[in-house]
Amino acid sequence: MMRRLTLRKPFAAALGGALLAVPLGFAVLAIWWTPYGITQMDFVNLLAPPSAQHWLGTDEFGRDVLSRLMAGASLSMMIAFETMLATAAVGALLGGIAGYFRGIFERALNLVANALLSFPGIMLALGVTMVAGQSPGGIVLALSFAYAPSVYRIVRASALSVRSREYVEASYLMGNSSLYTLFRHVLPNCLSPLIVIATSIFGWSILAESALSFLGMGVPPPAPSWGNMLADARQFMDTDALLSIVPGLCIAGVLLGVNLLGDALRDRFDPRMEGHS
Amino acid sequence: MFRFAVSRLGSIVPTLLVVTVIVFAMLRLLPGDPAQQMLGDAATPQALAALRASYGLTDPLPVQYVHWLGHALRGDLGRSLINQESVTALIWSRFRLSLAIVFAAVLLATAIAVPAGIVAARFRKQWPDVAIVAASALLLSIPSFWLGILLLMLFGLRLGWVPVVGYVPVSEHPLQSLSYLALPVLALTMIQVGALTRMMRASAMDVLQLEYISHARATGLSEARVMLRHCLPNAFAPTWTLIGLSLGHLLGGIAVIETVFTLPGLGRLLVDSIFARDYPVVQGCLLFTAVFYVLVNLVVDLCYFLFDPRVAA
Amino acid sequence: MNPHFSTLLSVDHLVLGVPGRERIVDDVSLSVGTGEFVAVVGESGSGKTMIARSILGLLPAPVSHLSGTITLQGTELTGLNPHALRKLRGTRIGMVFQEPMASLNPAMRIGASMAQGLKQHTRMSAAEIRDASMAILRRIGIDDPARCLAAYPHEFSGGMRQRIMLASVMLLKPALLIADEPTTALDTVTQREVMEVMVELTREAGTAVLLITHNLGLVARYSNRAIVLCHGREIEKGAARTLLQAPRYPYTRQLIAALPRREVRAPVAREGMPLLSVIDLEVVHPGRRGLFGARSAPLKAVDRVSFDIFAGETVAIVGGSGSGKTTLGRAIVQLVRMSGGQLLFHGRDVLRADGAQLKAFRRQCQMVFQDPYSSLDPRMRISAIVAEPLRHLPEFATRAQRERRVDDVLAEVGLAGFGRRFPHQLSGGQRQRAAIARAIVTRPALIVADEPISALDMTLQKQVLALFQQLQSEHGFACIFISHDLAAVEQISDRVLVMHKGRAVETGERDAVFDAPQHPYTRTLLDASPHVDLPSQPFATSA
Repeated sequence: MMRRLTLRKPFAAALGGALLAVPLGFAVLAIWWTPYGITQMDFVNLLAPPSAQHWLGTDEFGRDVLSRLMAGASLSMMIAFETMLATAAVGALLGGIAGYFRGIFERALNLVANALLSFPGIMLALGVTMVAGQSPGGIVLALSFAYAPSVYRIVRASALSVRSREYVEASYLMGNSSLYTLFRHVLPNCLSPLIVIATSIFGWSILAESALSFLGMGVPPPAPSWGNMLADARQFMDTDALLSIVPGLCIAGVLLGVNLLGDALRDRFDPRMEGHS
Repeated sequence: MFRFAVSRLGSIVPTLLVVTVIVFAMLRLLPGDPAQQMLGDAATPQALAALRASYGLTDPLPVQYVHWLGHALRGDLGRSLINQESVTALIWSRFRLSLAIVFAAVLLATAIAVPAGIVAARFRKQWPDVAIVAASALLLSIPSFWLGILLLMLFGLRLGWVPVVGYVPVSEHPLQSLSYLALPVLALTMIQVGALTRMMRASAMDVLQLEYISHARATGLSEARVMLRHCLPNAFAPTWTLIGLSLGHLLGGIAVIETVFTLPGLGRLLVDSIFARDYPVVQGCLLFTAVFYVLVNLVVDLCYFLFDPRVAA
Repeated sequence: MNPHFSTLLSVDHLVLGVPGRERIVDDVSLSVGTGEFVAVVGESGSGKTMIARSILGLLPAPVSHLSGTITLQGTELTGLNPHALRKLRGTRIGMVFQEPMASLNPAMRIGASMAQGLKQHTRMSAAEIRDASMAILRRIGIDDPARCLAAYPHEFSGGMRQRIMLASVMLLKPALLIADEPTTALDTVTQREVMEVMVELTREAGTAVLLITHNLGLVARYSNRAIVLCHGREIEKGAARTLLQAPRYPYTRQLIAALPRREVRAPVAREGMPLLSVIDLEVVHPGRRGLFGARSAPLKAVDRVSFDIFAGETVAIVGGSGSGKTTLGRAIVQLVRMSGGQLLFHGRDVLRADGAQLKAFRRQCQMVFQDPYSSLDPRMRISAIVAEPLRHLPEFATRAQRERRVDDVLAEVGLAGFGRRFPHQLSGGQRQRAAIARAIVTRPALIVADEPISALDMTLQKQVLALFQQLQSEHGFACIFISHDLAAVEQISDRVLVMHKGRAVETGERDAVFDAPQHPYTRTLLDASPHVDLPSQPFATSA
């Protein structure tokens, strides 16, 4: 028999937390300060390699890469955060009410949710961004449309399962009203899966926003996003590889952190959900 | 079984209807006057009026919707504003390439993920499991376009094994075409294999707890047989569902890969049309992709009973 | 050692556990003779399942074999190489597990499942295997074996699956059959059927049986010898009859004492109006709507049941699964809509009650559910859970008043000081007490208890049953006790109502129903329920 290894869960969660904390810290810092201005151009040092002045070098306009990365972190995280909150609020409320009361309201919402979920990947987000405009608000709206149905589904499924539990029946037997039971017993017990999906949505939003920016459909220049920094770096793939590596590394790092944290949360809250380790 | 199929078919019709409404509404919600946008500089009052009449833009919205839907059901998605080509023909020619890449990637990813997931579940908490879980977590976190860029830099620029730009259709030069498609398929395979492995591992772990596994072992069957004959068929079902979702997920994000590898696929068509304000094409792409995705999931659902006979009951 | 049987299996000083941590089985020795029936008895956590698995070398990681030997007819099993061990599995030792719902591979047809063992270990041809399978299926009472072989497991009930499982294992004619709680998840009548099949097949083939169980009734009825375990240790072993009738050790005595027994009950005064009158109660489930509007036949879950219950009385409703007893209970408390009939509470029609009267009814009539794990809201503290019913009562408007009542009630059920805890911090038995506390906090006149002890261990069952009786004598509430466990019903009830397929087939005083059952179904139910006869009565042997 092979020796047993224990992939200790607290370790994975801590790693995830650390991976997130660093860019988050930079993102918060960047709201007030970056080493250089994000549009500040240093004409002497174009496409410069890392140095004491520019820790991660400069891009084709002489702009400091580190500063732009920090600002990009700020932008991406803010968009992801707002999307997470918006989808959680709307999805949870609608999902809870639909799962609990059922009836025609639920059927109509199911239809709309299924229809929205029929647009795979970032297709819906592309379409809505086209309509809502390429601004942070527009992107948050677009991503919210894309992800809220997932929250709706999860909370609705949770409410459906909770409403038939015996403690909910006991609540009716006591003489409590449906509304009271919904808010006192059903919704609080849907919190766990909600937290898990909300964490996932944060990650998806980071990825989607960078994909949109990569395609030129995100926040327009000169605002830096990790996605559009990668797009700009394409033409210099052979000469300045670092420009193509660093922004992607940031995205991957944040996503890894979100995934590890999400897994830890899932284990803690509901080991019966998909993908438990 | 038949009843199940018919009821599933019945349930997608209202969904698809709402999809068409969403696509239609999206385009009508655009700021500005569609006729103005279509004509651009050539917009004289007479031209505008003529265009509006011919496109039926003066009719009430529901009528326009029904009109448009009627055409779409017959396969007529209009004409491109840029080059007057049939939108349907345009989409179809581009779609074949995108589908080929996505399909190959999902196939490859499944072929890797299924054995990996079972091995990980079998050797739970030992080194094969830890390695597979770590690798999956890493792969899940990598953006597809960044991976594409990295692969391109490594295999295209550094090693020169594959060309960096351009594309040759399979019909013309099959072998050469492969060299253009190898990296995109590899990139998509790598990012999807993580998700599929995780799902396979989770359901295999659940199945291994069940009693018929203990019974099979107690009957004296070898481990390999137990895994193949008992674990795999029963654990595969949720992964099968995920395969349908993966096909859609990859197709939905194919635009970025097509951008990195300069491939003339459906994703690129959509993005280019958005920039060029070629709205009929945008509409057509969104509608087509959504309908395709719904149908794929329908087929996946209908085949579910192959892996879980209880569903057909 | 039993002089009548030659030794087949010998377990000597077995120690199992997680290295570096607790021992799950601590120095247990037992033996099974050829053709003998030995029972391993214990409650949950006694290590009995682990012993069974270790014999086959199927211990779940991280448990491992620490010391001691297991020998089968001279071959030492412990430390045997995996290849040789695999050869023994199925052919010399067969095993049947507990969960009938998960015992057969749902993706494999019955025929294929049954053929596995023979294909693996013998050179029989497919036709020969098929013939042997069909023959044994006929032995266990399946009329159309060919159809059975082509079917999938989900087409059969739990009891049927266990029988198929037994047949499948016995096809290989092993020398020893290990049965790990094979009937625990089944209802009484089915339990009997499965055990009879097991005994028949094993006797025919000369197979010895090692039965792992917590049910002393089964031990009394079927086994030659038994060993009692507690927390991994041997407590007592010997001939089953002696063990049960003259137990030497305190734990064994405790187990036997935990068995419910009939006691004399003070006669209940049945005067005046009954507390609750159930008149022709009906619950009909509408048929399922087919695709083209056709409906399948509606199902009568409860078919015109009538009975009265007076204050302070306990009426037990018994029946197998599917009898409608649970539906009846839920209809009485209005959790399920009645399709017909009347419900009179204190003479007033509940269905026509206005808001205030309905509220009064709700206050007076409470329910205790079966599953202690899902009847309490996991996010609330015990004191909040127990206090919640009080919010509708004007006498408990202030927090202090509520707290006082909650403290009183918690003390009554033996959970004093547990108020601050959450459900997951309580054991199953404690949770059930909390559920009972919640049910009695408004001092209701009637409590409907739906299988309140089925999910608990034997000794816990006794405690909770005793609690019920104590509370009833103190507060004088009437109780509708729904159960399939006839022994518990025997202890606690004044009158019994027997249900079968939605109808009430027999009603009467407890002693009358138990001693002189009128309806054939009642007789089947009583026969099927294995019980341990106490020393004063003759003992029914099996071998």
